Amino acid sequence: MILKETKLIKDLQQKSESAFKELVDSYQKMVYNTVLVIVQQEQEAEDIAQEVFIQVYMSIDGFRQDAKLSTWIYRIATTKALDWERKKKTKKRFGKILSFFSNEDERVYEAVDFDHPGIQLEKKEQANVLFKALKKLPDNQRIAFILIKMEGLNYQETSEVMNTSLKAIEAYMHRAKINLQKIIGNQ
Amino acid sequence: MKKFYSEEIDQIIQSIDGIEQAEPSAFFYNKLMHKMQQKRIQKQYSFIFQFKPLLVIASLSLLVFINAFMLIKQTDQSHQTIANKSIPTNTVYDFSEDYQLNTTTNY
Repeated sequence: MILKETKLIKDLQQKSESAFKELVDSYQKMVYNTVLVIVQQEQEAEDIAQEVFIQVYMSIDGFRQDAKLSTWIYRIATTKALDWERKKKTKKRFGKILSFFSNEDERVYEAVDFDHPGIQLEKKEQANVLFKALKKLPDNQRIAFILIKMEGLNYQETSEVMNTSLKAIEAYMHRAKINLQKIIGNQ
Repeated sequence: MKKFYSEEIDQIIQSIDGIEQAEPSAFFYNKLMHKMQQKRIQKQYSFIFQFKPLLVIASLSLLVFINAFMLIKQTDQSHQTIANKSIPTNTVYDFSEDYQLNTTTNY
């Protein structure tokens, strides 16, 4: 497995197209799903996932292999998704300010409730409440919660993705659960 | 607004347990390749125009220089023509010669 990954990285560094296709085939679901639960919009998630692979292709030469390839890709995916959210918030704020000065409606519309296609039908309503609450969590807690509860990573892997200690991840998860209870309870 | 009880809250938090992975679109790879191609073209285009301000200033300067040069050249030529036209000595002399205007008469 490690040997296969090393060869894939080497081929990617030589800009092999077949290696890139192999990378996309192997990791597209992982990247798309991670981004999807962060941004909660299917079309945007696909665009961001594509940007993640472009970033991987462009910066693979600088990948030092001190982490697993999947860890590195998770890191890029979460960073890109959070960046997109920040830009969206700025745009929204800017839109609000502009609407004060112009007659035209400059509002940035919020997407309606997010329906994750992988949730069982009988749990959809509850999941919608959870996704809404997740948006209100601080970034660190949210990413830790998503990687562990949805992506199925263990605490050690999550700490590697988030470039922090195991103890910090435990704390993030603990606080995430408490905050979610509070947010949902106050909804 | 609906209020949730603690048992319900726990159920909500657990609602994502056993979540299945969503599928990206079937043409994900093709769209990605298209996007990369677009970015490559944009990069080439931006490389050509990365010196844009410099290019614009140089082009404008060249244009102004050519215009000024042509203007000066034309003005010089027209000055010369006027100067030439202002002393049509031969023409006047020939004319007076033809009509014998330079001969003295007794009248």
